[in-house]
Amino acid sequence: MEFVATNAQLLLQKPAGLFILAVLALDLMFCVLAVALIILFRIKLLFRIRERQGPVKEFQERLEVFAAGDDSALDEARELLSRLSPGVRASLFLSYSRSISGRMREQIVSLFSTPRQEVQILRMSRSRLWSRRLHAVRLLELVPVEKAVPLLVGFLRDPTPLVRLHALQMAPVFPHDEVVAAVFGMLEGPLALTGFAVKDALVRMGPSVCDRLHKLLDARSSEPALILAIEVAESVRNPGCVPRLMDMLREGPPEAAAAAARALGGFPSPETRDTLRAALTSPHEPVRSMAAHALGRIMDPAVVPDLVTAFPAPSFNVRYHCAAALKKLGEPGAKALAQCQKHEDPFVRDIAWYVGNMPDFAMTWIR
Amino acid sequence: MNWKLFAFSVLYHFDWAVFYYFIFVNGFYTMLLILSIPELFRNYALSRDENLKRLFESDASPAITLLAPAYNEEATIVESLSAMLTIEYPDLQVVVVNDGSGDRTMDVLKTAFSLFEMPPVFRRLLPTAEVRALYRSHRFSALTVVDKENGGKADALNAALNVAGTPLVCAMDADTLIEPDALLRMVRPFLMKENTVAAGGTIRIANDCVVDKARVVKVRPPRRFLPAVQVVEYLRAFLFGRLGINRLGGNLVISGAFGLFSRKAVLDAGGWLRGTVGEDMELVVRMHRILCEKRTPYLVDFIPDPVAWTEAPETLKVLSRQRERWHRGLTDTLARHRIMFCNPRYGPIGMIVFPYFVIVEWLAPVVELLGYAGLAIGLYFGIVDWFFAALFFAAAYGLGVVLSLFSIVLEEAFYQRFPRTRHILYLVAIALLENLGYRQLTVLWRVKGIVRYLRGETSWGRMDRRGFKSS
Repeated sequence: MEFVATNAQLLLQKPAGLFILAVLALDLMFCVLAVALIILFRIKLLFRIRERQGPVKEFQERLEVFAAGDDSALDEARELLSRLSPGVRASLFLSYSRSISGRMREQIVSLFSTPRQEVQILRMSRSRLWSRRLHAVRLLELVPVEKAVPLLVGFLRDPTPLVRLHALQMAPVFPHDEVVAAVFGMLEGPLALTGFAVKDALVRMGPSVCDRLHKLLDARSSEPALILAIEVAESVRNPGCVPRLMDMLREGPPEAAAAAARALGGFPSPETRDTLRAALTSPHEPVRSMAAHALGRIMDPAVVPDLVTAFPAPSFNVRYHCAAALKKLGEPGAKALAQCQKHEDPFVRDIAWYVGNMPDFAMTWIR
Repeated sequence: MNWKLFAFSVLYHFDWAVFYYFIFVNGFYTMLLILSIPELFRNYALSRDENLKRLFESDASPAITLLAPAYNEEATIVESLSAMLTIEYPDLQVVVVNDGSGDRTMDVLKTAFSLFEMPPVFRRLLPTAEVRALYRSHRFSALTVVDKENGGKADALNAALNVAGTPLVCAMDADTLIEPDALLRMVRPFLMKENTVAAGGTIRIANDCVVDKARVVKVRPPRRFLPAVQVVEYLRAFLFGRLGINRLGGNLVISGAFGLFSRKAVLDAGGWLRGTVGEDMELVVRMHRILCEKRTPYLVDFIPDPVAWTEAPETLKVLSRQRERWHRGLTDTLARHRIMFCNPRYGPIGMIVFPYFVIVEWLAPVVELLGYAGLAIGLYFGIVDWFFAALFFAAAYGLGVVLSLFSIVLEEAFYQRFPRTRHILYLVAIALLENLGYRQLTVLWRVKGIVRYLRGETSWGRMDRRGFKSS
């Protein structure tokens, strides 16, 4: 004991000793604090009080009654809804808006569209927090159209990708000119994460996008935008796009020309068939591959000799797509493919064998 | 000159240097702990937001491909792959690479998933060992299997990346157990910031947890001391280590067991590097380096949510191999990218995070080992005061315990994955024992890793696994 006391006295005279003692004291203090916190959190877990969900459950029951045909239940549901906080109401709307359609959906929208909710959405749309803006996008249907459209245009230019993605999902609900213009404007921005959603939105907007689509194809803007526009043209099946796609195939940059070739497969006609036949001799490998792919989709057995001629190419992709196209062309194609399995070139034999033995459903995966 | 006096003087000053190093390192750890708390709060709010979860589950989420290299996984591949195929995510593809397994992995896959051969059509954007064949499944349209010559994990990941066509790819080990909503959580940083190139999540230890169909259904800490101490170690490393570093400017490590990447960013960086044992860290450091050099704004994020579970080594022999390999990988990566050290060109990564990894993570075992030796010699020759040494040891031990206890506090405050109170008390006891013996052993293994790196060893070493406890 005396040894400890003497040493402690000596230690207290040195700054390092003082420091170590202070650290030790802090260690002890924080250890006790940590253990106390662990006990506290454990107690909280053991006695966790379940959130009361009475009015929400009642509301859901009322809606079920309404769905069964009792219209008076809607008024009771409205009354119950007015008792819930705006956050819970928004959450409920989101859960219903995903799962219902038709008359029921209209009724639900009218049920949730209250002036209070509208103010809440407008406030959320101006928030600096992306999560609040995100909720505002999803609730846009509850705002009158004249207010929703400018908000949606703003959301389509939002800096947060997630907000933009959900604004794109909401865009077809408001197919106004400003919204269409804003979606087309997104083609000039980064498309890595949002490209597929832009395409999906444009396709879902249908004929209202065709004029702008024609302009975009004529203007020959950046290649990623052009390829996306070609894919949209294919999906909306707008005949006005066909001459533009054929021009693109003949004169466009290789990647865009390949996309145009692929898209033309969705517009079977003698003109597209001949254009695609000619494309089988293109100097660019992606164009030849996609032309073969498209000819397979057109399902015209007249193209079998062209595909057989194009088949023994040095490019694997060209061989593969020619083989796949032949397989899709029914009996004449299958016969030609069987002949290719006896070809002198082992690479041609190999790919003909692979494709010949692939299950039919797997042919739809070839892109 | 009196050599004895000189030697004593050197020893005296060295002991003081170790003392100052101790203050610096522990000060840094405390700072990380403090920095991690606001990050935890932020992530906690996001992960508990039910509306947000619903939004992430919508079709608007970008497509992801799981890249799963498999090497001699005959026993577990069917269960792991079935779990991967049932992950909750709207648009998911799975690419499994049989990396030249010597066992029946490929046959098992063919039978269990009704595979049929497809022409190997994909762009060879990254060079890899020869791909023998490409398979698709009759039963799961989302599944692609690549059969290739053995080339190591990095090579297998590169082959999978060549086949993947989605904007995001998730690199994982075939034996990792994934939480069902892991991808919904991991995709969060990518959808919040356009320039996110990689994201990592917390990996937990599954030894003695109950596993059903490759999913952890009941969490409990391992009964054996060695894996149990690793539970505390992982909590500390993930809950405040990586999270705190995130706050300082970005992580250098995304665990190879489970990490989400932008495919384009990985391709631009040249894919995973073959011939290194720390390919996961090396890729992330290289991405930092390239993007900083190009002056491209980017983000490497980390989410503290538990997303995956792995099996920890249960014997000293296997654990020593693992730790030695990790430190060898760290040394290799830091040596390859040494230009980044304290280089303002690389921003906070070069000025804070990289120096932290060199001075604290890499150097710590060397200093600690030399410190023990210096302390022993100093005590023997009477240069160091016994009483001071004992107090210093007590303070160091206490600091270690405080950091471990606070990682358990964070776990309790935010995740509460251990359902029983006795589990938590057990972990507290482990935290008290961790610094008495186990820590010193890890120091030895890590120093051995540096020595082996200097000798030029690049082998992985065998990892014996016991397997998970089924329900």
